[in-house]
Amino acid sequence: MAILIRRRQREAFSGLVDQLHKLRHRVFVERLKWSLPRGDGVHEIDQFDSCDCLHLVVVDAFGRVRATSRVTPSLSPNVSCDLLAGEMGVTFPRGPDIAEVSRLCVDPDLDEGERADALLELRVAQVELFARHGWKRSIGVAYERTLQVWIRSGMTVEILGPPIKFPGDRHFAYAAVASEDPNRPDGVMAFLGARSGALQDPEQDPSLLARFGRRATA
Amino acid sequence: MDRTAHALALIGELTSAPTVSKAVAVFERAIEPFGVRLYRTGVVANPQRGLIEAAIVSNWSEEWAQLYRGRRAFTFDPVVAAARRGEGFFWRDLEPSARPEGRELMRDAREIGMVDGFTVVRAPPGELKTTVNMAGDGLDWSELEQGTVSFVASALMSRMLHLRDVQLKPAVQALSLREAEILSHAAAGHADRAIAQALSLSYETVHFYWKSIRRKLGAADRANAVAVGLWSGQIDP
Repeated sequence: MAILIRRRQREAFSGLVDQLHKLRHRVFVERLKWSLPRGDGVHEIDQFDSCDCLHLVVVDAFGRVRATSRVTPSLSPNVSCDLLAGEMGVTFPRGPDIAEVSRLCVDPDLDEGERADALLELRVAQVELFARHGWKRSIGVAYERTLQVWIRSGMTVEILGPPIKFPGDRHFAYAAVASEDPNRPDGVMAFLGARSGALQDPEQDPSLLARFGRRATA
Repeated sequence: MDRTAHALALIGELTSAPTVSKAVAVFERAIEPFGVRLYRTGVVANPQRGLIEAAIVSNWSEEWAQLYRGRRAFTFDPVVAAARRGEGFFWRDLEPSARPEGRELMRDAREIGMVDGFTVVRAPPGELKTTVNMAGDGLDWSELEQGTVSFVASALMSRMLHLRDVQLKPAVQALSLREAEILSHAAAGHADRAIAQALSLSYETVHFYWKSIRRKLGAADRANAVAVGLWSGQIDP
């Protein structure tokens, strides 16, 4: 299951929020060696986490966060449009039907099958979230391996400019726009196996708060 | 526009191509400025052994393909061996450490225009391992250009596999549990006698099942059946 955490729910789900920032630190700072400006050595958090963003967290049966991503309406401040675009020399499209996806990561300690399952859960939830908000396109900066997953699922991917390697990084990162095939509006979900219902929204299911709210961090 | 920008600008067109042939046409436009003249794309159904490879699209000459198969060159081709390990490499980097028959094969390849080559290998979690071999003369690329060519080649594979999914899923018939078991063993590289032993069947019964598997999947041979079985999701990679 993937739980949607809005800005106003961050306190109520402080345990999951704490875990997601720890997971991001393990992946982006410790593993990928990203040079990120802020942090306490345990959590990865930036100024865009306090903006108008939504967090998706995939949790296992024990309430442990296994994957996460950050989704931000493109008209709100976001890391791709307001920071990375300048560094990469590109301009991202912005509009009411466009959302930015960033900080997507999966627990690196999972085995390959578990990673694939967690990623699938996250992707299905993301597709459902986009459909709910009427977002037709996603923007972001991603590695090739992430973009290939999108292409494999039938999305059209446009590259906005030359890729760059961030300091300390081994892989090129691409500024990209992804959209579903307008002729097959349900194509991506069909590819993903139509496992709809991955997105769990506390506003629709208050029991999520009882099960996962304010839980001690794993 | 330099060749990197040109290729990346074509990614949108490639990833929205409605057919395999249109995707391939965009791919050719993207890689032509990099000096690539010949290419062969495939999926590896058995990454451990690397032997069961089904080509998806290729413009290699049939003469070379026949020569290659006739010599069973995949057993000593340095490119095949390197593809088991690497993600992207130039063929010229393999030659110094290749066995004599491998060096001879590379010399023969040069004579038909494959002066140098670059191979891209991708194995995403839960997905088929794919290879794209590209050859030409004077493949002299910067790191950025290698990344770009790799991206374009992988995007072609991702798009083609998606299109194959779309086209094949309704077209093939569902295998029975026993047929899927046999096909899974074949995908793992097991010979029919080993499959028969593993499933407590006679060798003749396994042969009988193969006829049914090939008919249901519309497959011409064993490797094709494995590839279609994988693409149609009836056996796991």
